[in-house]
Amino acid sequence: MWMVVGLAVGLPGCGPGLYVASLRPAQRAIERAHEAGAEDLAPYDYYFALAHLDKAREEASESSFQDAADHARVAREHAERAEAMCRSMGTEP
Amino acid sequence: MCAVACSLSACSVDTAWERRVASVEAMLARAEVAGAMRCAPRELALGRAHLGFAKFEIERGQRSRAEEHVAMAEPNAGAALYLSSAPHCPERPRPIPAPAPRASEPVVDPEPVPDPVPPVDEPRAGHHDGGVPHGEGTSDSSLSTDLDMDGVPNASDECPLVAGEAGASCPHSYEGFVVRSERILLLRALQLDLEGQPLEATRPVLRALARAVADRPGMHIEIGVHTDSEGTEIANLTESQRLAERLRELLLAEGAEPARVRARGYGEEFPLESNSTPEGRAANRRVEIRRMEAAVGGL
Repeated sequence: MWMVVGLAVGLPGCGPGLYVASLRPAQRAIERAHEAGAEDLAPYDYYFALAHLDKAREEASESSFQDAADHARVAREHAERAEAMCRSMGTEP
Repeated sequence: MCAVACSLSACSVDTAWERRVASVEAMLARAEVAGAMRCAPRELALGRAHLGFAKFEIERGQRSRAEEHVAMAEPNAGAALYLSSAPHCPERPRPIPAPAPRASEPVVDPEPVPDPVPPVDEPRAGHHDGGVPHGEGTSDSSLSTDLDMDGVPNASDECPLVAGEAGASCPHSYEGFVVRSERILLLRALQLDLEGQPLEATRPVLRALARAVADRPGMHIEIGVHTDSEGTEIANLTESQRLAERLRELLLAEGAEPARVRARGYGEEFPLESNSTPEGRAANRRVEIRRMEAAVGGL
């Protein structure tokens, strides 16, 4: 059983905040793309976005928050593109 | 003299690196021309993404990280090429306009590359090993033999040196977990004490995990730690990363190969259940072990 407690640690600057702020829109964009059927209809952009989201998490895990935010932005852009492609095909659920 | 020798050595390493990158780029270019955007879009995307990450890492001097990404790009490029070749991609591809170059993508160089190698496992799962046998005991000369005598030839044996159970290529049941195609299902919680030392019941599981990784030369795993939503999001992210890294250290101490194990703290991002009840929060505090050669990303 994990007892993970939120530690009252002084975190440096706003780096993690920057990452978290970039991550959410990327995740939402990927979720929207997924719901629109991007896995089948726009797989290139969808999987490219997923790879960048994964890379963003990797960077964040090493405290490279600026790079993490950059990858999250790329993820969001490709996910939005994937979603737009799905919508343009008129296949939204 | 030493300086000269050292720089010559570095030069040859760099040349080998550049060749390797160029080979992957060329495979991706050929795959795209052959119709990968239509027949293997996932593999093409993952191949390009990981190649871009590899270049990014090498530029900032993270060679081992760069090699990890190339190792992910190579099988995907190979699988993209394979899946785009006739007869797997029967319709003649339409000329697909190349996407605008992006900073994170490689510039392709269509130089000749070897013929594609068919994936060993299911073709659509080409994003894991992509059919490019690697690891000990899988050299070309031994592909048709069966070193562990489990009835599965080395060419298609995920565990070429360890006999599987009942006709399978690998053992799947270990103490405290089961190895599945996309993840390792923990049957026993991994527990650390306050000093970060594993509890008695956790030690054999860690030992078995290291053995499972060693049994499968192509397997890469991620130790993912998740928290509940108590505390701040940032603190949970930080704490989960710390715990994941500690588990990775323990696994390496048991003999797991560092390049094939990574640690990732996800914080409270992916709850399994509601955080509004103690039971839900307990379920959300967890460790998950994913096989990274078979999966990428995830929401």
